[in-house]
Amino acid sequence: MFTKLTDEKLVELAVSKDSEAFGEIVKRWERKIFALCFGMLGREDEARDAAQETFIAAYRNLANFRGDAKVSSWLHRIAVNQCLTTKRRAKTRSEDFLDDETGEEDRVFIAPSHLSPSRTAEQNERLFYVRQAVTSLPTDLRQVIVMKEFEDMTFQEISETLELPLSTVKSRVYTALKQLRMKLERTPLEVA
Amino acid sequence: MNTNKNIEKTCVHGVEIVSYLYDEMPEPGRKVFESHLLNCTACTDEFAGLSLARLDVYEWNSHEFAALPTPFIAIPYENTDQVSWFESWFGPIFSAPKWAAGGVFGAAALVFGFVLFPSGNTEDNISISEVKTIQMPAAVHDEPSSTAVEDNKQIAEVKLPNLLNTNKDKRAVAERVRASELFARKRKIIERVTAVKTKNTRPSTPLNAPRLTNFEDEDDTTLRLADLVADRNTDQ
Repeated sequence: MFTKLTDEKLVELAVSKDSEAFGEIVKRWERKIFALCFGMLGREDEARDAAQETFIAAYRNLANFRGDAKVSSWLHRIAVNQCLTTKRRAKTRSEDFLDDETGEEDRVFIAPSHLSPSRTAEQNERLFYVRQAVTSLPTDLRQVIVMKEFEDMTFQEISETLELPLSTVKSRVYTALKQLRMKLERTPLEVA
Repeated sequence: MNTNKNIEKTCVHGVEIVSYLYDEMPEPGRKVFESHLLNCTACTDEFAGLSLARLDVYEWNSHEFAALPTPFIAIPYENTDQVSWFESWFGPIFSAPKWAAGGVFGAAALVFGFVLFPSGNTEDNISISEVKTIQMPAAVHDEPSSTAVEDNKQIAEVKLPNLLNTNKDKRAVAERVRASELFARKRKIIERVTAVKTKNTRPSTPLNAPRLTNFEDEDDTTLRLADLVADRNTDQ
């Protein structure tokens, strides 16, 4: 019933207390919002909570949704704010997970079975540095690179979602990749 | 060779490289960029570096995120009420810590107070410097009697309906009344200040008490050290 409706129409229905319409919005965007939160925060548990909080905040603030903006823009904005709040809370508690390696034991990487244990360990270490490099990027750069790589969005889609000029989006992705390269060049693995 | 170096120095193809890297470059531009990439080592190196960075992020995504299941998002509809516009605007104030909310309310009260009482120009706190700057209209007597204010008010009340038909006239009379009031206030303040000065300069000792000057004209017959020294010098 709701699958053919646009996001904006679904929001209209959801404002009039139609929970099923909002459920459809959640279904459409949960993976992308989860991907954004994961890319922004770098941790699965935090990303899951942030995605959950994003949709709850969106439901609570349905009445404030501006019709002139896209639903995707609105949800992304809420998600990014949620991720920033999560990071701020983590910093306040002095549990900044960027430098915290205690949780690394719980992390499960799915590596191809044909790789040797040493190769797998090396790859895991590499991924750790990549995650650290991405999560230490400035928010505006991190957001575009995560939307590009994790949400698999085109430059045009990112531009519409963030309400930014296309050239700005491309320039940010370029800067983000350049900074990532510089950060990763300094890692022990690269030096070795 | 020199031509190549010049190209490398002035090459600013960052945005094009990114479009090409993500395969989002339109066909005509792609051919031009590919031919440029073959001749420009700076762009080739840049492209290689960005490709490696992209590959790292891609691997992180494919090895870690792609394997993760999408979490089940549960919205507690029954317990989650949609907020009204009032709550969305003022909610943060109520949910903020008490000290922060107190600060906001205090600031709001201050602003409200300034709006309601902008000048604070009451009789008690008017300053002399403020009164001095007032230009007295020519028609007002330089030293009006104590009843000048009342007289002017009466003139304004009695003659306004008959004589002052235009707004300009009314404004002029109102200014005169105001000036007279201010002048009267000025007089009061000056009187008050003069009274305070007089009070402060008055001697604290009783009037019949002996004064130091009372002994000025009397002969001082006491032996003074200066005279002794002078006598000694004379003897020597």
